[in-house]
Amino acid sequence: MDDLLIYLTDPVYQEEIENLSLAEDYHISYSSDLEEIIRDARLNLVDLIIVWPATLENSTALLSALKEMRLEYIPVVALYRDEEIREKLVKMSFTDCWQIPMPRERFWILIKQLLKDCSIQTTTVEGANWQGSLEEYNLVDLIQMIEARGWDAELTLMIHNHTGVVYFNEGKVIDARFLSLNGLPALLKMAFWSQGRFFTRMSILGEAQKRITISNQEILFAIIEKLHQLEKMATHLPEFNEELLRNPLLDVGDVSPLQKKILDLCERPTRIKDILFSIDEDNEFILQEIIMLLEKSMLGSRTSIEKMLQDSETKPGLGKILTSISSLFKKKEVIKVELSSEDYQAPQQEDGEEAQLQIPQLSLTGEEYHQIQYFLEKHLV
Amino acid sequence: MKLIDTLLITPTKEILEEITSNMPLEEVEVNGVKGYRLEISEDLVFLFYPMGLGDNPDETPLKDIKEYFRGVLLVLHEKYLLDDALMETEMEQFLLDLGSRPVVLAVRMEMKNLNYLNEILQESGMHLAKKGKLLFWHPLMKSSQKKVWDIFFKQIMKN
Repeated sequence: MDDLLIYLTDPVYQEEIENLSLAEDYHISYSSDLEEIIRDARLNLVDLIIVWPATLENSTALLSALKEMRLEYIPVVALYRDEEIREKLVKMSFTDCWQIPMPRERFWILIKQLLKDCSIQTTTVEGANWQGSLEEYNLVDLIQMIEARGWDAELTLMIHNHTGVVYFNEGKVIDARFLSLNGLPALLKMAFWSQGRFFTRMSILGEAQKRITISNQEILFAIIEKLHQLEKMATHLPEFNEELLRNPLLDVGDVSPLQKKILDLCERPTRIKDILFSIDEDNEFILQEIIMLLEKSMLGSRTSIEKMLQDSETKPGLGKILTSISSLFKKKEVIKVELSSEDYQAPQQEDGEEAQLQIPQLSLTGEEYHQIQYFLEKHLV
Repeated sequence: MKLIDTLLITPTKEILEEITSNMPLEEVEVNGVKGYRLEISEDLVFLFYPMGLGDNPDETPLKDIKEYFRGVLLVLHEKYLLDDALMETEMEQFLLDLGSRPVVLAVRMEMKNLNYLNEILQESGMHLAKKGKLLFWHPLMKSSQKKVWDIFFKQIMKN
């Protein structure tokens, strides 16, 4: 029996929910107290949480609380009344959003289907065809499990609407595909997937080629190393679930092709992990570029960029400052003044020969920069 | 010892004093040009050559030696940025003359305006050109003053 937990945010629906409680196939509990909902979710094996009805405020509060308590793996459905908020709800990390009212039969069909799709209880790793949740078995586990059985198989990984495939020959990984990537780059691209579904299918190589020639052991080391790198980089980034947005006050200007792709994606609020799913480049490179764009303030979290825009609209003085300075630097950038040695030529010498003035280009080393930071800490804190 | 020459442009002496407050600067004169010496360590010294702006321009031979500067720190009061005439003429030409040097523009805000600024802008400023960075600060907010110097030195290191 599946456990449904309903976050009742409007008492108007209490009677309807109490009627639902008569459903025999489900154990249903409800509360209008968010703390109680979170406590229930923590203590009981809840299969699904329903926000009934969802507003932006109560949805944000619930999803934040679940995230804080590391309960974001529990599927959450938002029921909404007004079409206007649908678009905003869809962008939040709900498993699904349904408009109410709807016929009761349809409600139960949707619930049943959603639970079937989401439940990690459906994981099966017996017999010839496995299927399940990547939260339970990740890529590293699955490679070892298939190797132990020596299968010729295709392992399909799915997250949102992205699909990747890993090909095995007698348990040895021989190829992988994701987006336009093949071989090891495709495999490493999927290494960090910790959510989504997988299934296996017995196959005799099919379209796969032996693009990966290193041993499974070496592959596992490569994956673990890659995950370690990503973890380190993640310390300089917001949460992978956080939505980023391009800063429209800054012109794109001179950016790398990869940065351009990222900025294009972030024309709309886009989560970091969706950026990783959508661009067929090494995840490390993508994260490096995101870090750079954040440093340059060309990207920011959705909330801060939206607040900045709001501020610039309401405070014309500051807006004017930014516009004024931006245009100044933009003009400067167009004119390329590359100083060459000819720039340093001294006037003609008396004997008619030209003397060239050599100017040493002093630069700072990382160690010297650390000295400077220490110095500033000492004097300016 | 490594001596790094930089240019420090301020519209008034007050702002110069504010941005350098608590920094152990020594006045020096190098080849007839007055400047400030900042000793980070025995092996690393910065020389800042101050230059006036707006109503208070300095007639110094600085323009002749601008190629020497490894970085430029412009410190302006926010009110100067609203002075279109100033921005369109003097400052613009000056920046063009500097070519591709790292430039940090540190805007001295009124405290209430600094607080209006979004967190991102307060923390990271704005990237305005390949080697140009805009930062906002107030002398009473020491962290913002420190950020200006930190980013300035970082720009020099990176470029």
